[in-house]
Amino acid sequence: MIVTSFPFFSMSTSNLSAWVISKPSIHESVPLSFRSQLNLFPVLDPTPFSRTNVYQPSTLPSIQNGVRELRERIETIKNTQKVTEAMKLVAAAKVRRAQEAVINGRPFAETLVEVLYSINEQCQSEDVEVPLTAIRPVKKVALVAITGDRGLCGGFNNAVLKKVENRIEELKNLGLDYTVISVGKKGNAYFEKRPSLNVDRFIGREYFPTSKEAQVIADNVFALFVSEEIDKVELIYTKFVSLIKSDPVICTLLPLTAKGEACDVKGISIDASEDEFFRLTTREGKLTVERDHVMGLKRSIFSPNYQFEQHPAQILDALMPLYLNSQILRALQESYASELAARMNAMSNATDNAVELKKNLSIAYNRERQAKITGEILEIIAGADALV
Amino acid sequence: MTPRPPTPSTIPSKLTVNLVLPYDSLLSAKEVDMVIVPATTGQMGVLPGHVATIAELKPGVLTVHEGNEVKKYFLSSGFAFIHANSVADIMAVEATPLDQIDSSLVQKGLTEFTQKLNAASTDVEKAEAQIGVDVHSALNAALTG
Repeated sequence: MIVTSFPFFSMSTSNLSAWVISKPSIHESVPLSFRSQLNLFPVLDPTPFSRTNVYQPSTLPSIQNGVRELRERIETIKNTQKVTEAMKLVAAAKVRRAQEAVINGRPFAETLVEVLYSINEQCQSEDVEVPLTAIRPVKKVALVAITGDRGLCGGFNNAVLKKVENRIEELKNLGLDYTVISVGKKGNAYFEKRPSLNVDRFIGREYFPTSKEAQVIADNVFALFVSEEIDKVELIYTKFVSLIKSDPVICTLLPLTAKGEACDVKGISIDASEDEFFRLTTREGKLTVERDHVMGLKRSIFSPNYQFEQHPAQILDALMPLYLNSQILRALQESYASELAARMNAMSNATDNAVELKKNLSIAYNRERQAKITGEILEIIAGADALV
Repeated sequence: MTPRPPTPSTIPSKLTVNLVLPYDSLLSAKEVDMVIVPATTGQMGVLPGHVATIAELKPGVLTVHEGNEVKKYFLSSGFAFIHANSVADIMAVEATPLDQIDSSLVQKGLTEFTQKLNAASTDVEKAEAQIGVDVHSALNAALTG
Protein backbone atom coordinates (compact mmCIF):
# COMPACT_ATOMS: atom_id res chain seq x y z
CA MET A 1 0.00 0.00 0.00
CA ILE A 2 2.69 2.44 1.02
CA VAL A 3 4.98 1.62 -1.87
CA THR A 4 2.28 2.11 -4.50
CA SER A 5 0.97 5.39 -3.18
CA PHE A 6 4.45 6.93 -2.87
CA PRO A 7 4.92 8.04 -6.53
CA PHE A 8 1.45 9.59 -6.61
CA PHE A 9 2.32 11.58 -3.58
CA SER A 10 5.57 12.90 -5.04
CA MET A 11 4.05 13.73 -8.42
CA SER A 12 1.33 15.91 -7.10
CA THR A 13 3.06 17.40 -4.16
CA SER A 14 2.21 20.92 -5.18
CA ASN A 15 -1.49 20.17 -5.06
CA LEU A 16 -1.38 18.23 -1.89
CA SER A 17 0.74 20.73 -0.08
CA ALA A 18 -2.35 22.82 0.30
CA TRP A 19 -4.14 20.03 2.07
CA VAL A 20 -1.07 19.26 4.12
CA ILE A 21 -0.77 22.81 5.34
CA SER A 22 -4.44 23.10 6.09
CA LYS A 23 -4.40 20.11 8.37
CA PRO A 24 -1.64 20.87 10.86
CA SER A 25 -3.23 18.82 13.59
CA ILE A 26 -2.46 15.61 11.77
CA HIS A 27 1.17 16.65 11.37
CA GLU A 28 1.74 17.53 15.00
CA SER A 29 -0.17 14.71 16.63
CA VAL A 30 1.36 11.85 14.68
CA PRO A 31 4.80 12.99 13.40
CA LEU A 32 6.17 9.50 12.96
CA SER A 33 3.10 7.70 11.68
CA PHE A 34 3.91 8.44 8.09
CA ARG A 35 2.06 5.37 7.06
CA SER A 36 -1.21 6.43 8.54
CA GLN A 37 -0.85 9.85 6.94
CA LEU A 38 -0.34 8.45 3.53
CA ASN A 39 -3.27 6.13 3.98
CA LEU A 40 -5.45 9.01 5.00
CA PHE A 41 -4.93 11.07 1.86
CA PRO A 42 -6.35 8.75 -0.77
CA VAL A 43 -9.44 8.22 1.40
CA LEU A 44 -10.00 11.87 2.15
CA ASP A 45 -9.49 13.10 -1.39
CA PRO A 46 -10.44 10.46 -3.93
CA THR A 47 -9.23 12.43 -6.96
CA PRO A 48 -6.68 14.94 -5.76
CA PHE A 49 -4.79 14.97 -9.03
CA SER A 50 -7.64 15.74 -11.37
CA ARG A 51 -6.59 19.14 -12.64
CA THR A 52 -9.85 19.89 -14.40
CA ASN A 53 -11.92 19.85 -11.24
CA VAL A 54 -9.70 22.35 -9.52
CA TYR A 55 -11.48 25.69 -9.59
CA GLN A 56 -8.92 28.48 -9.39
CA PRO A 57 -10.84 31.67 -10.13
CA SER A 58 -8.13 33.92 -8.81
CA THR A 59 -5.60 32.87 -11.43
CA LEU A 60 -7.81 32.51 -14.52
CA PRO A 61 -9.87 35.44 -15.92
CA SER A 62 -12.44 33.40 -17.88
CA ILE A 63 -14.64 30.53 -16.78
CA GLN A 64 -13.62 28.37 -19.70
CA ASN A 65 -12.01 25.86 -17.45
CA GLY A 66 -14.34 23.16 -16.24
CA VAL A 67 -15.71 20.43 -18.48
CA ARG A 68 -18.95 20.51 -16.57
CA GLU A 69 -19.23 24.28 -16.89
CA LEU A 70 -18.66 24.07 -20.62
CA ARG A 71 -21.30 21.41 -20.99
CA GLU A 72 -23.81 23.51 -19.08
CA ARG A 73 -23.02 26.55 -21.16
CA ILE A 74 -23.54 24.61 -24.37
CA GLU A 75 -26.93 23.43 -23.12
CA THR A 76 -27.97 26.98 -22.24
CA ILE A 77 -26.91 28.30 -25.61
CA LYS A 78 -28.79 25.54 -27.39
CA ASN A 79 -31.97 26.49 -25.56
CA THR A 80 -31.44 30.18 -26.26
CA GLN A 81 -30.97 29.40 -29.91
CA LYS A 82 -34.27 27.55 -30.04
CA VAL A 83 -36.05 30.54 -28.51
CA THR A 84 -34.49 33.11 -30.81
CA GLU A 85 -35.22 31.04 -33.87
CA ALA A 86 -38.84 30.65 -32.84
CA MET A 87 -39.13 34.39 -32.28
CA LYS A 88 -37.66 35.06 -35.68
CA LEU A 89 -40.22 32.83 -37.40
CA VAL A 90 -43.10 34.37 -35.48
CA ALA A 91 -41.97 37.87 -36.39
CA ALA A 92 -41.54 36.84 -40.03
CA ALA A 93 -45.07 35.50 -40.18
CA LYS A 94 -46.47 38.64 -38.61
CA VAL A 95 -44.57 40.99 -40.91
CA ARG A 96 -46.51 39.74 -43.88
CA ARG A 97 -49.83 40.33 -42.15
CA ALA A 98 -48.74 43.78 -41.05
CA GLN A 99 -47.75 44.64 -44.60
CA GLU A 100 -51.11 43.44 -45.85
CA ALA A 101 -52.84 45.66 -43.32
CA VAL A 102 -50.89 48.64 -44.64
CA ILE A 103 -51.89 47.78 -48.21
CA ASN A 104 -55.51 47.23 -47.26
CA GLY A 105 -55.76 50.55 -45.57
CA ARG A 106 -54.49 52.36 -48.60
CA PRO A 107 -57.68 52.58 -50.73
CA PHE A 108 -59.48 54.29 -47.86
CA ALA A 109 -56.79 56.87 -47.30
CA GLU A 110 -56.40 57.55 -51.00
CA THR A 111 -60.10 57.96 -51.62
CA LEU A 112 -60.29 60.37 -48.71
CA VAL A 113 -57.48 62.40 -50.20
CA GLU A 114 -59.27 62.58 -53.54
CA VAL A 115 -62.46 63.80 -51.93
CA LEU A 116 -60.53 66.39 -49.97
CA TYR A 117 -58.74 67.56 -53.05
CA SER A 118 -61.85 67.92 -55.16
CA ILE A 119 -63.74 69.72 -52.43
CA ASN A 120 -60.87 72.11 -51.97
CA GLU A 121 -60.67 72.71 -55.70
CA GLN A 122 -64.32 73.56 -55.86
CA CYS A 123 -64.46 75.59 -52.72
CA GLN A 124 -61.64 77.89 -53.51
CA SER A 125 -63.97 80.67 -54.38
CA GLU A 126 -66.18 80.09 -51.39
CA ASP A 127 -65.01 80.91 -47.96
CA VAL A 128 -64.90 77.56 -46.29
CA GLU A 129 -63.28 77.52 -42.92
CA VAL A 130 -61.69 74.32 -41.82
CA PRO A 131 -60.08 74.49 -38.42
CA LEU A 132 -57.66 71.70 -39.08
CA THR A 133 -55.93 73.48 -41.93
CA ALA A 134 -55.48 76.71 -40.02
CA ILE A 135 -51.87 77.84 -40.22
CA ARG A 136 -50.94 79.83 -37.15
CA PRO A 137 -47.61 81.25 -36.06
CA VAL A 138 -46.04 78.37 -34.23
CA LYS A 139 -45.35 78.73 -30.54
CA LYS A 140 -45.80 75.23 -29.23
CA VAL A 141 -45.27 71.96 -31.05
CA ALA A 142 -46.57 68.54 -30.08
CA LEU A 143 -44.40 65.56 -30.98
CA VAL A 144 -46.17 62.22 -31.20
CA ALA A 145 -43.55 59.49 -30.82
CA ILE A 146 -44.54 55.99 -31.83
CA THR A 147 -42.45 53.22 -30.28
CA GLY A 148 -42.98 49.54 -29.69
CA ASP A 149 -44.29 47.64 -26.72
CA ARG A 150 -41.76 44.89 -26.44
CA GLY A 151 -38.01 44.76 -26.66
CA LEU A 152 -35.68 42.38 -28.46
CA CYS A 153 -36.03 44.35 -31.67
CA GLY A 154 -32.53 45.65 -32.15
CA GLY A 155 -32.12 49.41 -32.48
CA PHE A 156 -35.72 50.09 -33.41
CA ASN A 157 -36.96 51.92 -30.32
CA ASN A 158 -33.67 53.70 -29.77
CA ALA A 159 -33.68 55.10 -33.29
CA VAL A 160 -37.10 56.69 -32.81
CA LEU A 161 -36.26 58.07 -29.39
CA LYS A 162 -32.98 59.52 -30.60
CA LYS A 163 -34.85 61.27 -33.41
CA VAL A 164 -37.29 62.69 -30.86
CA GLU A 165 -34.42 63.97 -28.74
CA ASN A 166 -32.80 65.61 -31.77
CA ARG A 167 -36.04 67.28 -32.72
CA ILE A 168 -36.48 68.57 -29.19
CA GLU A 169 -32.99 70.09 -29.38
CA GLU A 170 -33.83 71.74 -32.69
CA LEU A 171 -37.04 73.16 -31.31
CA LYS A 172 -35.27 74.44 -28.24
CA ASN A 173 -32.72 76.19 -30.45
CA LEU A 174 -35.52 77.79 -32.43
CA GLY A 175 -36.97 78.99 -29.17
CA LEU A 176 -40.17 77.01 -29.50
CA ASP A 177 -42.00 75.28 -26.73
CA TYR A 178 -42.69 71.59 -27.10
CA THR A 179 -44.58 68.72 -25.57
CA VAL A 180 -44.30 65.00 -26.18
CA ILE A 181 -47.09 62.48 -26.60
CA SER A 182 -45.67 59.00 -26.32
CA VAL A 183 -47.33 55.94 -27.80
CA GLY A 184 -45.97 52.53 -26.86
CA LYS A 185 -44.60 51.09 -23.63
CA LYS A 186 -40.95 51.50 -24.54
CA GLY A 187 -41.36 55.18 -25.22
CA ASN A 188 -43.41 55.62 -22.06
CA ALA A 189 -40.69 54.04 -19.93
CA TYR A 190 -38.04 56.19 -21.58
CA PHE A 191 -39.88 59.45 -21.02
CA GLU A 192 -40.88 58.58 -17.50
CA LYS A 193 -37.23 58.54 -16.56
CA ARG A 194 -36.72 61.93 -18.13
CA PRO A 195 -39.22 64.39 -16.76
CA SER A 196 -39.25 66.79 -19.66
CA LEU A 197 -42.56 68.25 -20.79
CA ASN A 198 -44.91 65.36 -21.31
CA VAL A 199 -48.60 65.42 -21.97
CA ASP A 200 -50.01 61.96 -22.34
CA ARG A 201 -48.79 58.47 -22.26
CA PHE A 202 -50.87 55.97 -24.15
CA ILE A 203 -50.16 52.69 -22.58
CA GLY A 204 -49.22 50.27 -25.23
CA ARG A 205 -50.86 49.03 -28.28
CA GLU A 206 -52.75 45.83 -28.61
CA TYR A 207 -50.97 43.45 -30.90
CA PHE A 208 -52.33 44.93 -34.05
CA PRO A 209 -52.91 48.64 -34.54
CA THR A 210 -56.62 49.27 -34.96
CA SER A 211 -58.52 52.38 -35.88
CA LYS A 212 -59.87 52.54 -32.34
CA GLU A 213 -56.39 53.24 -30.97
CA ALA A 214 -55.75 55.68 -33.78
CA GLN A 215 -58.97 57.40 -32.78
CA VAL A 216 -57.79 57.84 -29.19
CA ILE A 217 -54.62 59.56 -30.35
CA ALA A 218 -56.52 61.52 -32.99
CA ASP A 219 -59.06 62.82 -30.45
CA ASN A 220 -56.32 63.92 -28.14
CA VAL A 221 -54.35 65.69 -30.83
CA PHE A 222 -57.48 67.22 -32.33
CA ALA A 223 -58.56 68.67 -29.01
CA LEU A 224 -55.13 70.15 -28.37
CA PHE A 225 -54.89 71.67 -31.83
CA VAL A 226 -58.37 73.14 -31.99
CA SER A 227 -58.12 74.63 -28.51
CA GLU A 228 -54.97 76.40 -29.79
CA GLU A 229 -52.77 74.97 -27.07
CA ILE A 230 -50.66 73.44 -29.79
CA ASP A 231 -49.91 75.11 -33.10
CA LYS A 232 -48.27 72.22 -34.90
CA VAL A 233 -48.37 68.47 -34.50
CA GLU A 234 -45.56 66.29 -35.73
CA LEU A 235 -45.62 62.54 -35.94
CA ILE A 236 -42.39 60.58 -35.43
CA TYR A 237 -42.58 56.97 -36.55
CA THR A 238 -40.53 54.40 -38.40
CA LYS A 239 -41.16 54.09 -42.07
CA PHE A 240 -40.89 50.63 -43.52
CA VAL A 241 -38.22 50.86 -46.21
CA SER A 242 -37.23 47.24 -46.55
CA LEU A 243 -36.95 44.17 -44.38
CA ILE A 244 -33.45 45.11 -43.35
CA LYS A 245 -33.72 48.85 -43.26
CA SER A 246 -36.22 51.11 -41.59
CA ASP A 247 -36.05 54.85 -41.15
CA PRO A 248 -37.56 56.98 -38.45
CA VAL A 249 -39.24 59.97 -40.10
CA ILE A 250 -40.85 63.12 -38.85
CA CYS A 251 -44.13 63.91 -40.53
CA THR A 252 -46.26 67.01 -40.00
CA LEU A 253 -49.71 65.86 -39.06
CA LEU A 254 -51.43 69.15 -38.35
CA PRO A 255 -52.11 71.61 -39.86
CA LEU A 256 -53.28 69.53 -42.81
CA THR A 257 -52.12 70.67 -46.19
CA ALA A 258 -54.81 71.60 -48.65
CA LYS A 259 -53.88 68.82 -51.01
CA GLY A 260 -53.95 66.26 -48.25
CA GLU A 261 -50.49 64.95 -48.92
CA ALA A 262 -48.32 63.84 -46.07
CA CYS A 263 -45.40 66.22 -45.96
CA ASP A 264 -42.04 66.05 -44.37
CA VAL A 265 -40.91 68.83 -42.05
CA LYS A 266 -39.27 70.54 -44.98
CA GLY A 267 -42.46 70.37 -46.99
CA ILE A 268 -41.31 67.54 -49.22
CA SER A 269 -44.01 65.03 -49.86
CA ILE A 270 -43.22 61.68 -48.34
CA ASP A 271 -46.16 59.84 -49.79
CA ALA A 272 -45.03 56.65 -51.42
CA SER A 273 -46.25 56.65 -54.97
CA GLU A 274 -44.99 53.19 -55.68
CA ASP A 275 -44.87 50.77 -52.86
CA GLU A 276 -43.33 47.39 -52.59
CA PHE A 277 -45.21 44.54 -51.17
CA PHE A 278 -43.19 41.80 -49.57
CA ARG A 279 -44.09 38.17 -49.72
CA LEU A 280 -42.52 35.63 -47.47
CA THR A 281 -42.08 32.47 -49.47
CA THR A 282 -39.88 29.42 -49.38
CA ARG A 283 -37.29 28.64 -51.95
CA GLU A 284 -35.19 25.49 -51.64
CA GLY A 285 -36.52 25.02 -48.17
CA LYS A 286 -35.27 28.35 -46.90
CA LEU A 287 -37.32 31.41 -46.12
CA THR A 288 -36.78 34.19 -48.62
CA VAL A 289 -38.44 37.46 -49.35
CA GLU A 290 -39.81 38.38 -52.74
CA ARG A 291 -40.99 41.77 -53.75
CA ASP A 292 -44.06 42.67 -55.69
CA HIS A 293 -44.76 46.17 -56.83
CA VAL A 294 -48.12 47.61 -56.05
CA MET A 295 -49.05 50.24 -58.59
CA GLY A 296 -49.72 53.49 -56.86
CA LEU A 297 -52.81 55.44 -57.64
CA LYS A 298 -52.23 57.80 -60.50
CA ARG A 299 -53.77 61.01 -59.35
CA SER A 300 -55.42 62.34 -62.47
CA ILE A 301 -56.57 65.88 -62.32
CA PHE A 302 -60.28 65.65 -62.71
CA SER A 303 -62.58 68.54 -62.23
CA PRO A 304 -66.15 67.55 -62.82
CA ASN A 305 -68.54 69.62 -60.82
CA TYR A 306 -69.65 67.66 -57.85
CA GLN A 307 -73.05 68.06 -56.38
CA PHE A 308 -72.93 68.41 -52.65
CA GLU A 309 -75.69 66.67 -50.79
CA GLN A 310 -74.80 68.66 -47.75
CA HIS A 311 -73.03 71.93 -47.39
CA PRO A 312 -69.31 71.54 -48.22
CA ALA A 313 -68.31 73.00 -44.88
CA GLN A 314 -70.25 70.29 -43.11
CA ILE A 315 -68.70 67.62 -45.29
CA LEU A 316 -65.21 68.95 -44.68
CA ASP A 317 -65.89 69.11 -40.96
CA ALA A 318 -66.71 65.46 -40.91
CA LEU A 319 -63.98 64.51 -43.36
CA MET A 320 -60.99 66.04 -41.61
CA PRO A 321 -61.13 63.97 -38.40
CA LEU A 322 -61.54 60.86 -40.51
CA TYR A 323 -58.51 61.82 -42.52
CA LEU A 324 -56.53 62.50 -39.37
CA ASN A 325 -57.51 59.10 -38.07
CA SER A 326 -56.42 57.38 -41.26
CA GLN A 327 -53.04 59.13 -41.25
CA ILE A 328 -52.35 58.14 -37.67
CA LEU A 329 -53.48 54.59 -38.36
CA ARG A 330 -51.15 54.35 -41.32
CA ALA A 331 -48.25 55.59 -39.18
CA LEU A 332 -49.09 53.01 -36.51
CA GLN A 333 -49.27 50.20 -39.04
CA GLU A 334 -46.00 51.10 -40.71
CA SER A 335 -44.35 51.43 -37.33
CA TYR A 336 -45.61 48.01 -36.34
CA ALA A 337 -44.37 46.45 -39.57
CA SER A 338 -40.93 48.02 -39.07
CA GLU A 339 -40.81 46.78 -35.49
CA LEU A 340 -41.54 43.25 -36.63
CA ALA A 341 -38.89 43.46 -39.34
CA ALA A 342 -36.34 44.76 -36.82
CA ARG A 343 -37.21 41.97 -34.41
CA MET A 344 -36.86 39.42 -37.17
CA ASN A 345 -33.41 40.70 -38.00
CA ALA A 346 -32.28 40.92 -34.40
CA MET A 347 -33.44 37.38 -33.67
CA SER A 348 -31.87 36.11 -36.87
CA ASN A 349 -28.52 37.61 -35.86
CA ALA A 350 -28.90 36.23 -32.34
CA THR A 351 -29.54 32.77 -33.74
CA ASP A 352 -26.47 32.96 -35.96
CA ASN A 353 -24.35 34.13 -33.05
CA ALA A 354 -25.68 31.33 -30.88
CA VAL A 355 -24.81 28.74 -33.52
CA GLU A 356 -21.26 30.08 -33.83
CA LEU A 357 -20.77 30.30 -30.08
CA LYS A 358 -22.03 26.76 -29.65
CA LYS A 359 -19.59 25.55 -32.28
CA ASN A 360 -16.65 27.27 -30.60
CA LEU A 361 -17.62 26.05 -27.17
CA SER A 362 -18.09 22.51 -28.44
CA ILE A 363 -14.57 22.57 -29.83
CA ALA A 364 -13.19 23.83 -26.52
CA TYR A 365 -15.24 21.26 -24.63
CA ASN A 366 -13.98 18.41 -26.74
CA ARG A 367 -10.44 19.61 -26.35
CA GLU A 368 -10.76 19.72 -22.57
CA ARG A 369 -12.42 16.37 -22.47
CA GLN A 370 -9.69 14.77 -24.58
CA ALA A 371 -6.97 16.40 -22.51
CA LYS A 372 -8.50 14.99 -19.37
CA ILE A 373 -8.71 11.52 -20.82
CA THR A 374 -5.13 11.75 -22.06
CA GLY A 375 -3.98 12.88 -18.64
CA GLU A 376 -5.65 9.97 -16.92
CA ILE A 377 -4.18 7.51 -19.38
CA LEU A 378 -0.73 8.99 -18.91
CA GLU A 379 -0.97 8.71 -15.17
CA ILE A 380 -2.13 5.13 -15.33
CA ILE A 381 0.73 4.30 -17.67
CA ALA A 382 3.23 6.11 -15.46
CA GLY A 383 1.92 4.28 -12.44
CA ALA A 384 2.14 0.98 -14.27
CA ASP A 385 5.72 1.82 -15.32
CA ALA A 386 6.64 2.61 -11.75
CA LEU A 387 5.48 -0.82 -10.70
CA VAL A 388 7.77 -2.53 -13.14
CA MET B 1 -56.61 51.05 -57.67
CA THR B 2 -56.51 51.49 -61.42
CA PRO B 3 -56.71 54.98 -62.88
CA ARG B 4 -60.23 56.15 -63.44
CA PRO B 5 -61.65 55.74 -66.99
CA PRO B 6 -62.77 58.94 -68.72
CA THR B 7 -66.43 59.97 -68.67
CA PRO B 8 -68.27 58.01 -71.35
CA SER B 9 -70.73 59.70 -73.63
CA THR B 10 -73.42 57.05 -73.16
CA ILE B 11 -74.71 55.92 -69.82
CA PRO B 12 -73.10 52.60 -68.85
CA SER B 13 -75.31 49.70 -67.89
CA LYS B 14 -73.63 48.86 -64.60
CA LEU B 15 -72.44 50.80 -61.60
CA THR B 16 -68.96 50.04 -60.24
CA VAL B 17 -68.92 50.04 -56.47
CA ASN B 18 -65.95 50.19 -54.08
CA LEU B 19 -66.74 49.79 -50.42
CA VAL B 20 -63.62 50.64 -48.42
CA LEU B 21 -62.89 50.65 -44.70
CA PRO B 22 -59.76 51.98 -43.00
CA TYR B 23 -58.39 48.50 -42.63
CA ASP B 24 -59.94 46.57 -45.51
CA SER B 25 -61.88 46.75 -48.78
CA LEU B 26 -65.15 44.89 -48.57
CA LEU B 27 -66.11 45.45 -52.20
CA SER B 28 -63.70 46.51 -54.85
CA ALA B 29 -64.71 47.28 -58.41
CA LYS B 30 -67.90 45.26 -58.16
CA GLU B 31 -70.37 45.71 -61.01
CA VAL B 32 -73.89 46.20 -59.70
CA ASP B 33 -77.23 47.58 -60.84
CA MET B 34 -78.01 49.93 -57.98
CA VAL B 35 -76.94 50.89 -54.50
CA ILE B 36 -78.93 52.67 -51.83
CA VAL B 37 -76.82 54.65 -49.41
CA PRO B 38 -77.99 56.09 -46.08
CA ALA B 39 -77.10 59.75 -46.55
CA THR B 40 -77.70 62.21 -43.74
CA THR B 41 -80.46 63.72 -45.87
CA GLY B 42 -82.14 60.34 -46.27
CA GLN B 43 -81.89 57.16 -48.30
CA MET B 44 -80.29 57.91 -51.64
CA GLY B 45 -80.49 55.57 -54.58
CA VAL B 46 -77.60 55.53 -57.03
CA LEU B 47 -78.06 54.17 -60.56
CA PRO B 48 -75.54 54.04 -63.36
CA GLY B 49 -75.14 57.47 -64.87
CA HIS B 50 -75.80 59.28 -61.59
CA VAL B 51 -74.53 62.82 -61.46
CA ALA B 52 -71.24 63.32 -59.66
CA THR B 53 -72.03 63.76 -55.96
CA ILE B 54 -70.35 63.90 -52.59
CA ALA B 55 -72.56 62.84 -49.72
CA GLU B 56 -72.04 62.32 -46.02
CA LEU B 57 -73.53 59.16 -44.60
CA LYS B 58 -75.27 58.50 -41.31
CA PRO B 59 -75.40 55.13 -39.55
CA GLY B 60 -77.66 52.95 -41.61
CA VAL B 61 -78.00 50.23 -44.15
CA LEU B 62 -76.25 50.12 -47.49
CA THR B 63 -78.18 47.99 -49.96
CA VAL B 64 -76.46 46.58 -53.00
CA HIS B 65 -78.72 45.35 -55.82
CA GLU B 66 -77.16 42.95 -58.27
CA GLY B 67 -79.70 41.35 -60.59
CA ASN B 68 -82.08 39.61 -58.20
CA GLU B 69 -79.56 39.51 -55.40
CA VAL B 70 -79.76 42.05 -52.61
CA LYS B 71 -76.90 42.37 -50.14
CA LYS B 72 -77.21 44.58 -47.10
CA TYR B 73 -74.40 46.08 -45.05
CA PHE B 74 -74.68 48.15 -41.94
CA LEU B 75 -72.45 51.22 -42.06
CA SER B 76 -71.44 53.16 -38.99
CA SER B 77 -70.91 56.37 -40.95
CA GLY B 78 -68.79 57.61 -43.78
CA PHE B 79 -68.89 59.23 -47.18
CA ALA B 80 -70.21 58.36 -50.60
CA PHE B 81 -68.27 59.73 -53.51
CA ILE B 82 -69.99 59.24 -56.86
CA HIS B 83 -68.06 60.04 -60.00
CA ALA B 84 -69.39 61.06 -63.37
CA ASN B 85 -68.38 57.75 -64.96
CA SER B 86 -70.63 55.58 -62.79
CA VAL B 87 -68.04 54.66 -60.21
CA ALA B 88 -69.16 54.93 -56.62
CA ASP B 89 -66.62 54.99 -53.79
CA ILE B 90 -68.24 54.39 -50.45
CA MET B 91 -65.96 54.98 -47.50
CA ALA B 92 -67.17 53.78 -44.14
CA VAL B 93 -65.46 53.76 -40.79
CA GLU B 94 -67.03 50.40 -39.97
CA ALA B 95 -69.26 48.15 -42.03
CA THR B 96 -70.59 44.65 -41.49
CA PRO B 97 -73.00 42.47 -43.47
CA LEU B 98 -76.38 42.46 -41.75
CA ASP B 99 -76.45 38.72 -41.19
CA GLN B 100 -73.48 39.02 -38.85
CA ILE B 101 -75.29 41.27 -36.40
CA ASP B 102 -76.82 39.77 -33.26
CA SER B 103 -80.30 41.26 -32.69
CA SER B 104 -80.47 40.46 -28.96
CA LEU B 105 -77.28 42.44 -28.38
CA VAL B 106 -78.78 45.31 -30.38
CA GLN B 107 -81.87 45.36 -28.14
CA LYS B 108 -79.76 45.26 -25.05
CA GLY B 109 -77.57 48.10 -26.30
CA LEU B 110 -80.59 50.18 -27.19
CA THR B 111 -82.18 49.89 -23.75
CA GLU B 112 -78.83 50.55 -22.10
CA PHE B 113 -78.19 53.73 -24.05
CA THR B 114 -81.76 54.99 -23.60
CA GLN B 115 -81.29 54.62 -19.85
CA LYS B 116 -77.98 56.43 -20.05
CA LEU B 117 -79.57 59.23 -21.99
CA ASN B 118 -82.26 59.66 -19.34
CA ALA B 119 -79.73 59.58 -16.54
CA ALA B 120 -77.19 61.84 -18.27
CA SER B 121 -76.39 65.06 -16.49
CA THR B 122 -73.51 66.69 -18.37
CA ASP B 123 -73.57 67.65 -22.04
CA VAL B 124 -70.78 65.22 -22.84
CA GLU B 125 -72.69 62.31 -21.34
CA LYS B 126 -75.85 63.37 -23.14
CA ALA B 127 -74.05 63.55 -26.47
CA GLU B 128 -72.45 60.15 -26.01
CA ALA B 129 -75.69 58.54 -24.96
CA GLN B 130 -77.50 60.16 -27.88
CA ILE B 131 -74.97 58.76 -30.32
CA GLY B 132 -75.41 55.31 -28.81
CA VAL B 133 -79.18 55.56 -29.10
CA ASP B 134 -78.96 56.71 -32.73
CA VAL B 135 -76.66 53.91 -33.79
CA HIS B 136 -78.62 51.21 -31.99
CA SER B 137 -81.99 52.36 -33.24
CA ALA B 138 -80.59 52.44 -36.76
CA LEU B 139 -79.29 48.90 -36.24
CA ASN B 140 -82.68 47.88 -34.92
CA ALA B 141 -84.47 49.41 -37.86
CA ALA B 142 -82.02 47.74 -40.21
CA LEU B 143 -82.63 44.33 -38.71
CA THR B 144 -86.40 44.57 -38.57
CA GLY B 145 -87.02 46.65 -41.69
